[in-house]
Amino acid sequence: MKRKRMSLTRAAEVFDVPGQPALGVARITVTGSRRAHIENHRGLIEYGPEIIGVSAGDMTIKLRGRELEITAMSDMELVVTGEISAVELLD
Amino acid sequence: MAALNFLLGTVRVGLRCDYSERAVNICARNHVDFRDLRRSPDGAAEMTVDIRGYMTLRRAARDTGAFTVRIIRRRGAPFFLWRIRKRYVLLIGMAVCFFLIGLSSVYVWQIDVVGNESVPSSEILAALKAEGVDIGTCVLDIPQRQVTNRILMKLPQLSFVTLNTHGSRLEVIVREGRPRPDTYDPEEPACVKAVKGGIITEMTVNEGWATARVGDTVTPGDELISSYVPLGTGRTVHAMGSVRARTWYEMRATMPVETVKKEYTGKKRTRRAIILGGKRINLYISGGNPYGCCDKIIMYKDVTLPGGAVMPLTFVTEVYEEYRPVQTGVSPEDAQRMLKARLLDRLEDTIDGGSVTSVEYDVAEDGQSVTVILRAECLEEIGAQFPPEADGENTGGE
Repeated sequence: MKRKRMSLTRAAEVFDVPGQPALGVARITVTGSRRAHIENHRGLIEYGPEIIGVSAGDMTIKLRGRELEITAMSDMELVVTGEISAVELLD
Repeated sequence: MAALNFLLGTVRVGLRCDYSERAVNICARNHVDFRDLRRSPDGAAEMTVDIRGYMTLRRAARDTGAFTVRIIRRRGAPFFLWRIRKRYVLLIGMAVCFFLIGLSSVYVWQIDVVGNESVPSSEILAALKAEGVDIGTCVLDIPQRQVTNRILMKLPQLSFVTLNTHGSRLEVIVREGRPRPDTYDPEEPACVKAVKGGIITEMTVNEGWATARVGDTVTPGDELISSYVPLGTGRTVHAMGSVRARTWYEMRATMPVETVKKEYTGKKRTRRAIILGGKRINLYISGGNPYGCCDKIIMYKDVTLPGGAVMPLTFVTEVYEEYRPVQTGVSPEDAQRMLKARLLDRLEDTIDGGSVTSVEYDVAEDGQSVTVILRAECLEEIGAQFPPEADGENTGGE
């Protein structure tokens, strides 16, 4: 599965097409330091006012900050608001 | 948003699960819109959902068996109505109240006039009233086009009128017509006449025939540049030119040296009243002026619902503040200074762009008042265009 995804990622790079829609790769949009929008997530791993961890398939996204809050969440998207100080991508 | 949440009703729930993130993920997968997600001290995930979301959560909890749902708090109109479902009188009262609010919203309870500059709002409101549009008129009964057309005919100063209704507030937007400038057609014959008396110091004739010359003394109404040019067979033109002259002014102003000043005693009295549907109801017994000398301040406060809907209820507060009239004196020097400044301002307004070449003041005091007489010599434009006289006085000057 992982090999297939890697080959698809390379193919996307060769043909210069955005991989995100086709491969379901997570996309993170941070607006200022008050709002983060994560698409194509795989579920919440941990949450609290200072850290929110989200699974993105082959990696984990961690948002650190203060007064973090999940404003909206669906099975594909998630919006976090609060004072975001760091976005970490962990394998 | 808060009002909508109240109308739809919200439930604060706690999802107890060994791994509360899993409960949150199940919520997201079942399309439950939640907000204000927090972890409670006992590890449960607390969130606020709407009623439909709560039902979905309960179903998901039953189907998966992964978590339990506990209600922490219910809020909103559906829960309130469910609680009072057997209190019939209260329900009927609420229904009547909502009905009356709905009924009153089709009547005009406030009229705002916007866009008028020189035409007073009271004049526009009076014209509206004459057309049957006033406080208490049903919004549905206002024939807008007919009313606006009639107001335009009645008030020729207005060039545009429109009526907008915002609930029970009527907004009257008007635009005033610009008066046509007082100019003459350059093709039409015109002469230049003196509008002020004086001795001409400078004269430039651009068009026409000069009938006065530098050094002449003229009085208001004298022709300075004629429209008839007696050259050849003669012709009439639109006379143009500049005529500057020395002019003299005498102005006087008087000021009493003793004036009355208000000294507030600190005593105040407040009276309240309400205006319900145009009828005033006083909430006090004794009327009349409570003090011999007092200021009266009236404040009106309209009752409006959230969203701007005006209700037919206005609270009136009248504040009476007592004062004592105290005689205070102004020194003759101060009075002179003020009067001189005032007269000079008046003179500058009168000569409108001209210059003051010399000014003298005479001061007279009689113990009760100070009188200042200003005598000034000025240099200013005295010519203005007029249509030539009808009796055909097209006589050449020189």
